Amino acid sequence: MSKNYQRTGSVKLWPLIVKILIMSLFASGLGYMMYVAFLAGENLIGGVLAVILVAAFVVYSQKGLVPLKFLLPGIVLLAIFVVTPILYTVLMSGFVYKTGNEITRDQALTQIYETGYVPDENYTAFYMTLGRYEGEVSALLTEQMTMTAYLGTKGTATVLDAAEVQLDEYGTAVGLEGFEPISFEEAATLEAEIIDLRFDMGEGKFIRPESLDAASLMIQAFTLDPASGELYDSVNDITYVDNGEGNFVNKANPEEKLFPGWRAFSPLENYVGLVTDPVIRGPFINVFIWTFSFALITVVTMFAAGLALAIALDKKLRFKGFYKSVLILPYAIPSFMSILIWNGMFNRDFGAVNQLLGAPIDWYNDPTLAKLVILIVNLWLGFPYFYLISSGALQALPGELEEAAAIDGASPGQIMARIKLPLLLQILSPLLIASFAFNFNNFNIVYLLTNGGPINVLAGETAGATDILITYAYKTAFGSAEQNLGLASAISVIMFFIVGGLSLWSLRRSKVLESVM
Amino acid sequence: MKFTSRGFKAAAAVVATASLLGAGLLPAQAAPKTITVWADETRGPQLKSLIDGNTTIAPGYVIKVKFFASLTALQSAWDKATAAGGPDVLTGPASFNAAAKSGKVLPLLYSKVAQSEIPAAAKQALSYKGRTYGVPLDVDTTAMYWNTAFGASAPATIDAMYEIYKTQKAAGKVTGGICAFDGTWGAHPVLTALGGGAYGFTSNNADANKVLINSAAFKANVKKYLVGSDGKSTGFLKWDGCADEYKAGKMLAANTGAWNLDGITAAGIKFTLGPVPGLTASTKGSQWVNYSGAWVTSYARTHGVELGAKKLVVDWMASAAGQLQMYAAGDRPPANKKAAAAVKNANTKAFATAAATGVPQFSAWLDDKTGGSNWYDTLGSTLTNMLVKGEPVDSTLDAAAAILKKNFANASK
Repeated sequence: MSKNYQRTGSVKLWPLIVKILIMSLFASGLGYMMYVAFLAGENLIGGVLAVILVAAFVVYSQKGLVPLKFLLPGIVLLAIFVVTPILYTVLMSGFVYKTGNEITRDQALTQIYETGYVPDENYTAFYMTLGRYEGEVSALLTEQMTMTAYLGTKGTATVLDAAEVQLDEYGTAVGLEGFEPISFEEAATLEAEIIDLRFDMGEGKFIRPESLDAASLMIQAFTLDPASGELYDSVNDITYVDNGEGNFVNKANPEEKLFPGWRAFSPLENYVGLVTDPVIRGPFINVFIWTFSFALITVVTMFAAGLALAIALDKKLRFKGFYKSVLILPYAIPSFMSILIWNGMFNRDFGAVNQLLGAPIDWYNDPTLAKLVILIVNLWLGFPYFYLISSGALQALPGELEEAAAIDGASPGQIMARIKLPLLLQILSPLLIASFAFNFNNFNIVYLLTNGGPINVLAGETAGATDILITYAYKTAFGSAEQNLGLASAISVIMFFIVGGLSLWSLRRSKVLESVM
Repeated sequence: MKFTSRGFKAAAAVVATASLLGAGLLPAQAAPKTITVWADETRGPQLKSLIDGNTTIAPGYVIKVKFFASLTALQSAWDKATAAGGPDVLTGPASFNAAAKSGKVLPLLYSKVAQSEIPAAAKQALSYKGRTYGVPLDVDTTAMYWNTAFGASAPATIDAMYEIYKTQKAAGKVTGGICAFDGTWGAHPVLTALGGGAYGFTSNNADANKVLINSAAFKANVKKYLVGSDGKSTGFLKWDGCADEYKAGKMLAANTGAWNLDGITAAGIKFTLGPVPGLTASTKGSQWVNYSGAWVTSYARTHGVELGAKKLVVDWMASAAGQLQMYAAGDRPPANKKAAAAVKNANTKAFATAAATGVPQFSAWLDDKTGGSNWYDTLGSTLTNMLVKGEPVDSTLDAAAAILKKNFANASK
């Protein structure tokens, strides 16, 4: 390469310019993302981007490290899009992370205090003019009902004598000797200071700004005792304690929670809940069984159908090419389109299936029929793939075996059952296992066809009859106004280990790892 | 590792070029006091035309409106929002009030003016555990679109409507009675017309102890009007996939909102708007009356614009003047009483009239799942079990009521 560079100027210069430009674009893009990340306080993301940027410079600015030049993009993308989500999901499964428990403890406490600001019984409100008094950010306050003027400064509100206050045409206090009003624009820049202003009015009441020109008389209901960690609600006379699971709860009645709660780290809580909480355990076990059954039945039926067609078309036939093309069609059409069409075909009132059968069968409201529909449609979508691989595998079987068996007097059925099928299973088992793993997570077919239903909530069901683990996890995480991301993550982790284990087993059976490692 | 001098030169060139490119990429320092408002694809453009770039509503702040391709996209973005890019003000359906439980929106204190102009029920619909978090922007409700091909005006009672349905069905002219376009949600006025519904609502207060779905009257009327002699649906009420039937002129009436006015008109259906008739001429079915709202998020505090955002929401969005401007831009019936009184459009007024008999839809109550499932899923299973599977009416309604009692009791604490 270096010889080429030295031979002509154009060969030497242009690749370098292109390389510099590509690297520059890359560096500027990444640099911009770093800037945004650090600006937003996402230091971890910013740090990772910085590491990637430095690694790219190290790898691409020198002659050596040739393998890394090719591997680096793949490694980076693998780390970002595969490893990070897995680690993040595992991490999230260790948190109580659901609707009502989404923010940090400090944020939750801030919010609890915010809900603890209770207006006085008369909803006393004030017009407010912000300014500086003796160098402090202060406020001229005019009570809206009585038009009494106050000076709020240094944490106290003092009634002003009408004679010493300048009023506007509405009678609102806008001026006082020594008081320098500030503009809204300046006040906006001081919001962090203004928002914390409190002007004591006695008896636990204080005036608090509601915007830049209005304030209200309030009390703060909550008091946190740092020593005991107890939170006291003076309005309702309730003491709350931290339950260790992300909420303050009524000390006298731990079932009564205070919201918002926070994301509490409780590594095994979601996993234990899957096993011990009857509300979660019941549907989880049913969904788990159906997921296994669905994946197994699907693979067996698809393989059987594909193999049968491959055997049938292995003979000499007229229009064989046409048949083969037709058989591939279900595989060629986007699956989501096929699923939606099948969805309509099984409609009770207007579906083609019921019209052909002449019976108003309610396919989607009966658990068994809904499962049957899913298996039928999935068979339709999947058999061409198994036809293709079975057909290829059949061609690969040595013809001598069949001939020898025939000479020994074996019938075609015996040849298939005792010679070809065992050999085919040996060849195709990794693909069958891979297909099992795929169908274990076949979200589309369930979501688009039955949406996991039917579900009879009146019978206490919380998961649909056709829900598989992936749809159940999705619904748990995002399916309703009440979301449980921690539990959904725990279910996802279990699925990950099942599918990962199957994939590893499959790869070992096919000896793929041995051949490359 | 051995760095060649050429490598260093190249690296230096990359840094130099990247710096130049980066300088172009980096934004000018953003205005420090920008209030970011999020909205969906329908409200967003309207708000953009009204307040984007405005610096007078909340002096000292500039308002920026960002809108999403759909309500689903807005919901999804809101679910994933962080302080880094989250909004300061969120607008959308009342269900967003659920964010109060997670501490993602701030409690609001209405101004005196807002207190007097905002309906109490609207304020309650946007409250959680006794604190108000949002201001209502407009009313989301339904009305009955009576197909005038079956009579110049809607029948005065549901019994008269049922008789028309039976006659027309026998003549092969209709396939159903009343279609709840928007699923079980739109079925509520039919349930209430028959003596059922979710919770009692009197004197501007929902009553958690009054679960209506298994009332004696409702049980009797379900058997009379909705369940046929075969133990399954008479077809008088449909709630799933019946919109096309109505638009084809095959149903007497539909219950849906103003958002379907154009589609129904385009289908060539001539209709009158009004409430679903009740058991007597003086009673009406009660549809859900929901409110779209605006909330100040907890991110507004992080961004240092909480006071400005509260001023925008309470002093403009909740005000009669603000809502009339929004109504002029988007035809949504205003929630502010003073603004609603100023609206002249006949259709809007018809919806307002229908809404007057409605029941406020309290998301916190209807989304609660303490009993095992929320109101919507419970009602879906109830109607399916009674009208599709043919299960006994009384025990089905009692089972539904048992779930709802637990939900409402918990939500009302």
